Amino acid sequence: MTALIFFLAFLQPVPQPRTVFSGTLVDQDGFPIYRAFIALEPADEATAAIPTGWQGGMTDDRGAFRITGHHAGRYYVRLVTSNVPDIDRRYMAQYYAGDPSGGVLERARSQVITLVDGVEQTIEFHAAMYQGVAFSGRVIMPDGRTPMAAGLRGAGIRITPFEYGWTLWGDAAPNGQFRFPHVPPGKYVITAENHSDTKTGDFQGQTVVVSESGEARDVTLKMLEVKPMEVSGMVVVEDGSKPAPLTVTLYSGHGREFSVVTADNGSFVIKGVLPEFQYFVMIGPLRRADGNRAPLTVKPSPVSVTWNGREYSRGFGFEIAQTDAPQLRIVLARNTP
Amino acid sequence: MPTRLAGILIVLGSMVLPAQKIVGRVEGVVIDVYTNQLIAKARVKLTPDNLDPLYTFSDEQGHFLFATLPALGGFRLQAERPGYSTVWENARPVVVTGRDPTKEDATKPPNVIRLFAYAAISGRITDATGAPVAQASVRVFRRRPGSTERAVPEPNTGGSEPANDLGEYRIAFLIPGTYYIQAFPRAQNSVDHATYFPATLDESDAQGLQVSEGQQASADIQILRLKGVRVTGIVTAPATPLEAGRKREHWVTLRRVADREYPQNDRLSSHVMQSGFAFENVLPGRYIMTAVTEEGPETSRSQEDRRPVFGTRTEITIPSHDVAGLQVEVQPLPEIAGKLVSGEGCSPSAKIYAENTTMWTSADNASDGSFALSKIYPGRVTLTVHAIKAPGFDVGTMRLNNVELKDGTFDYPVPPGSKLEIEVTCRPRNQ
Repeated sequence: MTALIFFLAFLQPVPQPRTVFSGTLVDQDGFPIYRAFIALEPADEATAAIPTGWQGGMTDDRGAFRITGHHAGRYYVRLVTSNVPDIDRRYMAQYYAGDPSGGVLERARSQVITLVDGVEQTIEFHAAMYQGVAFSGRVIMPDGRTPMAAGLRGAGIRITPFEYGWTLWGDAAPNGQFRFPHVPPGKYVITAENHSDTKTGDFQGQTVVVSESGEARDVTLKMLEVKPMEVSGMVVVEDGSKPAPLTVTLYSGHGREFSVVTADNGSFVIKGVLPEFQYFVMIGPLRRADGNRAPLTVKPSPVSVTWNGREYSRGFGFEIAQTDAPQLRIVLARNTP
Repeated sequence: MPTRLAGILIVLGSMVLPAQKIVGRVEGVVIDVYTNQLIAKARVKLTPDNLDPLYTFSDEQGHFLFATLPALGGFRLQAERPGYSTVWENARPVVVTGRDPTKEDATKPPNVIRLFAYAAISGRITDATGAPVAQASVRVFRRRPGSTERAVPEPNTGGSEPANDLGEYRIAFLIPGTYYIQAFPRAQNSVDHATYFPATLDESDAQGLQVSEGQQASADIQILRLKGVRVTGIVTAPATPLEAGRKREHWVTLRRVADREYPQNDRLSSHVMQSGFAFENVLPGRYIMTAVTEEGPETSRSQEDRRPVFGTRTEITIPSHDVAGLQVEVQPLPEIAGKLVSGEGCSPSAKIYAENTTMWTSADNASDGSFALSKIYPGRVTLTVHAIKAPGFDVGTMRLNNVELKDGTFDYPVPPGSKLEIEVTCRPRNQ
């Protein structure tokens, strides 16, 4: 749910609508699907070059959606059902195929839509049911015991596609076993936690699973005890120049906030960071001794944030996991007046 | 008596074929709760505990049947049809549940899934110029008959939806009833105001929109743009000496009296400068005017370092013309201080609220039971004491300076500097 709230939070600051993408979402019986999320993903590099972040719209009780504020360009249209209450999980995340026989799981086979300024583009999205793949396995504690034997009631499980954008949530039983049927084929990060708001002394385990068909069995999530971590990183300016010292703040979906001032070479180390699903970066000016703020010579919104070599979309932030040795690279644009 | 006959036939069937009872069946009807009509062409979903859902459709008579089911454990039954919603009770959708159909007693009455055709209210929000208000927030309230309570309708869990870029909103899943609609301006400026349908700022003048089952009602709202009057004045404070390195700041707040429920609406606040205070665009009406003087270190900007020292609170009527030269006199703020004494069985703590203010404090015997409420404005204050009791005990009596309190609430005219003693006793609960 947190993911969804952040989703929406990032929908707000749209400067002015230039394109309109609307339509209805129905299932194979022509019944509207309510509260599904329709996401637009750039389909070519020119479209991707204009940062719009993660955007989309929710369907209403008639399955209708209306999405504005996207730049003109070519987009894939994806249905995200992971937060739809009580939906059959076989209506899994799928792409619009331009075809009443239903959406497709492979992006390459989907229908690209072109948004043009001043023109309303309308589609009818037919969702199809898919078996997908199943992930099953177990959670084991650091000493090899089951969560129950270690006094836990089980563990929460999160399945996030490597390319991000949506998440499946579920639970492992007290004996540590879990099974997720109907996951779209692909590469995933699977995380187990005994509390969703992870604190020191909790447990977290994580692994990467790739499955194209059938069932991925025996996925083992070995829990580690959660300890505060050191996050190191580097702030660089796009044009290769050096940024003046500035404040880097990490803030999280659970309200954590860590701030540090960068060194002369742009490097920084933040101590005491706890693992969490969603961290965001905020760049701020340096506060001088007199209490006033130094002028900021760079744009506060990063051009890109790379996390251990993985690029994260700004709408979703990035994850810090106990298994990581977190290395952050923040690229900023020069602020030209 | 066809129904009874059918029952007998099913019983006979199970008696004849006991060895083959590995196939179960689940049947029932889908019914409209408001009309008592059976609903045809509803999609019925049977969700077993550990398997994928199964689907069937209700026939022209609203009847459905899952004829050959394997052993399932338990299951849930739901039905859906475009324009219909599941009935909600106690803030949850009602779900029909059942046990393993291969073990279920065949004489069990058929399952009844209840739906209703939901109503929806939609419309367009515009500003004073007629331009759509993109992303305007719209709230719908249902007033229960004979009650002034505002309730969020069930099963509509939100009651509030943002409008789209054309200012269009739609609030669905409404049960039949009378609804009040309020639209909020997108931009926080002082001339556009939260407006009730059809066109009023005051809740008491709002017009209810009656919707029947399945009705698609329409309600457009033009957000009222009203330019109010200018209210200016000065604050005078007692000339008590101020320590070096400290400063005092005055704040004046106006809050519309009618807006009890949403005090954040139409609340105007002004930092008083040397020349006094000024409010622009104040709509005529009754307001509570609060002035407070805060004292704190000169260098700190933190709210926590500041302490209210003087204040006043009066009701004021703003006329339909500008008001100039208001003199607001702030006085030393009394503090309600006292001690909580609690008897056996009472957890030695209590929360003490001063009503009509946002102030509360808690008292705790572990730290000797002293409490103090500051920023209490002169005048009559109602205090409420919530004593926390130990398990197995009830709160017995509460006494304030030896006078018994009813319901833990008492009116307390605040004479400056007086001390309170609140005594709470508890008694063992009668089983």
